[in-house]
Amino acid sequence: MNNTEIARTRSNQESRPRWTGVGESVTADSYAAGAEAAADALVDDEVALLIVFCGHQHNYRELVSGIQSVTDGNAQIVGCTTGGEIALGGVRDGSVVIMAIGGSGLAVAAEIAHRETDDLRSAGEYVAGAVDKVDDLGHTVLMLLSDGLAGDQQEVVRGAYARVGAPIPLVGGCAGDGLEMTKTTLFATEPDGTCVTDVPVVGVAISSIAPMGIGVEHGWEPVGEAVLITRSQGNTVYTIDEEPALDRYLRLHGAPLDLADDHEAFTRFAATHPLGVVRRSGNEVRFIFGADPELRTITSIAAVPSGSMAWAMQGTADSILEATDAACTAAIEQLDGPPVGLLAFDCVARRGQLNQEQIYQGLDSLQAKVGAPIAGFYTYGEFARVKGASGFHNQTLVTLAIG
Amino acid sequence: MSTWALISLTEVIAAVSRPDVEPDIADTVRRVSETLDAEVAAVISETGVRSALGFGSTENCPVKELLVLAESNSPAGHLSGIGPVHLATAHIEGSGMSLLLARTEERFSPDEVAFVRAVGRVLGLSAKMREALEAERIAVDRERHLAQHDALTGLPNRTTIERTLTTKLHPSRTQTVTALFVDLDNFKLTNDTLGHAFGDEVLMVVGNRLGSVVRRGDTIGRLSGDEFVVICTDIAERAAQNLAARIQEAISQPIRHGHSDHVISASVGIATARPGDSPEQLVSNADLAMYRAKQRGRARIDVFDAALRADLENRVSIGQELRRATRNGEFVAYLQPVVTLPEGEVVSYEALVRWAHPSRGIVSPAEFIPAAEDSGLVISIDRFVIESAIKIQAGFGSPRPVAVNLSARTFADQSLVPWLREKLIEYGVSPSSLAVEVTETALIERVEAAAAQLEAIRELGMKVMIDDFGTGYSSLSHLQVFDVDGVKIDRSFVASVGEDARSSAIVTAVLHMANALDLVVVAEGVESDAQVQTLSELRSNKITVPLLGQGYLFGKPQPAIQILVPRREVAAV
Repeated sequence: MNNTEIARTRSNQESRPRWTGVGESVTADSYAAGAEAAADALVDDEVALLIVFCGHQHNYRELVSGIQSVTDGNAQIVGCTTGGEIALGGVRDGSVVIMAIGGSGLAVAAEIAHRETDDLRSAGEYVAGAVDKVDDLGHTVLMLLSDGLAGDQQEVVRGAYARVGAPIPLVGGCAGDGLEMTKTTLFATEPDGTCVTDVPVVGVAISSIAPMGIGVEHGWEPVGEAVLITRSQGNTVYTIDEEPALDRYLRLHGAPLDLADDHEAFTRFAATHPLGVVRRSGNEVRFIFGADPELRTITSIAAVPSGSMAWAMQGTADSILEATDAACTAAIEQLDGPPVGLLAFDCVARRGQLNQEQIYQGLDSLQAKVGAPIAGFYTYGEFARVKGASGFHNQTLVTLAIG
Repeated sequence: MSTWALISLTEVIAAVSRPDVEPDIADTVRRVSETLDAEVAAVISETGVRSALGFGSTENCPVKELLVLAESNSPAGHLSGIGPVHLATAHIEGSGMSLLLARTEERFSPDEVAFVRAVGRVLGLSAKMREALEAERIAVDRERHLAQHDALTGLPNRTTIERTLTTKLHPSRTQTVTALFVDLDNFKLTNDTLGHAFGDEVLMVVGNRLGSVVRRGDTIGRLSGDEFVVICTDIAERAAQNLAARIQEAISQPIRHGHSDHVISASVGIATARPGDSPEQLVSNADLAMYRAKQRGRARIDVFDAALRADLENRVSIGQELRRATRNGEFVAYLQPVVTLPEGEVVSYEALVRWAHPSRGIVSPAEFIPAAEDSGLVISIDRFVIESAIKIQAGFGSPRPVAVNLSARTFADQSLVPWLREKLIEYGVSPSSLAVEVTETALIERVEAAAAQLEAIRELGMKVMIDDFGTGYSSLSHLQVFDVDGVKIDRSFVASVGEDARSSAIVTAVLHMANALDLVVVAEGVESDAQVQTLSELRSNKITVPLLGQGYLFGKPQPAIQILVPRREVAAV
């Protein structure tokens, strides 16, 4: 891919109290890529926020410097590494995708948790303070970006919910690292423009004069027999049906028992073979991201409580695409008018169920439905709380339609 | 219950019954709200909201609405900031609290209501279990604390201090251990005059003040009553004395009592021991040093030394000899004349005890009275002197009264007055021919009882003098409390009268006070004409009460027979 393939899209509203713009760059040089993508995203004045999704090989500080070279330096920048960047130009790995948001009808404020915030609940509670800082224009959401490998991400939601309560919807996703499962990175600018990179959670409050919509769909179905989680602690499952968890999990999905000996092969397999935990609303999907071939344990990106009932979950290209369609429709239906932009937080596992052609098919249908700039990334877990108190999801597509 | 609800309940039970994690009601409630997609989960007591999820900050929590909804037990309602809600409530059994869940989306199904009630039960059972465990833990902790600490001040008690010292003085240790024995001065008086409640407060205040001045690592304990101890490791003698001074300074800060301030002082004894020494010995040495500090006039610091131990050992051996002396009748009563000043006319005698030791000859009271007081033999000795005085009056029919000394113990003895009455009758002696001398210290130890005892003695018809006047505690004020016939100004003032302005001022003050109260004044220890001169000058024209004197100038104490019987009669006998 080269620079000629950089897509550029504009929000097509006539009067522009609110606007979004998306720019992409596949340039390897981080500074140049940041500058290029930002320049394309800045389709209007009064930029308030630049949301950056990029490959984990980038130098984040240079990338941010590149962005700041084309902005006035005051705009808030937040970003993270991904399991693939999403823009209308396609789904890529190692590129830079930036959505810029601005206009007098939108206000943003960010809060950055630091590593010293030792637990994710405190971090979630802390970054939710962004809601207190933002100018309330009538409709506010809190966007959360989090280090997906840092622990039970439901804790981030618990912390944020405790602070903002029911009136503020939560949306967002966990950073990825191209399925290497070793280190994901968040970065953000402080008020003085300096870039911070060692961040567990970032919260961005986005307030609009118009309603915003959030869609949540996954497209997975339970298959085979139900099993009982007999022993677990936090995200680690020790036994299923009193059997070593890894063995029971692999047999449940009909996989060879030595699969976990090959880390990469297991990760690829597990990404598309989640567990579903029985919940009131149906089966909540749990993304299995690691296994210990010695201890025979498996690790999920969210808590799998002892005593819960689980299923092997299965998705098809059709069911995944149907879910994509439904998530967008649901988000847009909540708006008063056409969207000015859409952010997509799509689970990396759903990507694995689709071939290249199906991915483009999905993007085309998205573009047709949204008709506005779209940006997003493949995540290691998704945040969406519009009702109830929980709001961390796995293997799911979460969309935020900005109205 | 449907599958998901049963499974969720299993999860809740698993979460609250984990042995390795302290169960957290707020956390469990949060889990339930997540399970039910409920925006609000609150734990509500009759009087307030213990925890509430879903409103963001605490200020946004509509406490009144929640209380009303929890009380009403209705399936729907309205919550500020959330809007119309469906409700499910349950009692948390045995806690007086309830659990309230509110959801905007759809009403709670019977399954969900059953689930919420079951959670309430589980939480109640778990809370009960925790309460039971907590109560047991508190009881055990309290028992252990009580066994090791003084209930009033919360400080380690004697047992704990001894255990601490045993550890610190173990032969394997290398550091010296110093004990500061802190005893409050006249605490008994404080307790008697200002009440035990205030006395207890004083002890607590002192405990706290000790804590504020000791060094990090020092141990403070309360041994008993008003006795405290501070244990320090590897402290130089100078530093220990500085610490003792800081302790005295802290203790002497006023303590509020009603509308006035009460000031107490403390005497401190310091002793040091080496690893291998006995803990009991260390405390006892510090106690001895404290005792000497008190003897030297209170509010002082004294350091234990070998002489003090020798002195004590001497007392113990004297005590044994005294027992023998009492049995063998080795005590003798001497008389010393009391005369008018400046004329020198004998008006009365004071009976004084001497010990006719078989090998040491005549031993003066200064050498054996402290030991006699320690052993309790002082009562027998005092009674011997009193009986001797009565016999003298009976035998010689002296027209002049004889005064006898009552030690604190003898004076406090309830059988004293009946015994006196009995002896006076036995020998047919008029009570007016006898007087008793009591020290101020003996009087103030138990003020109310002392006043009653004085009254009883005077009712017998005997006169009462306060001995060693001026050395005790706020002397002048006591003259108003105790009904006495006279005071004897302590020899220490008489010795320096005319040379030391302070002594002269005290003597003058005593004279004026005595004059106002119509009391006889005796100057003790008069040894020179100059003293007689000065005393006479201090007694201005306004003083009408008699001023008497006693001392070597007018006659040493001598056996009664030599004083009362003319020489030739003695020879004839």
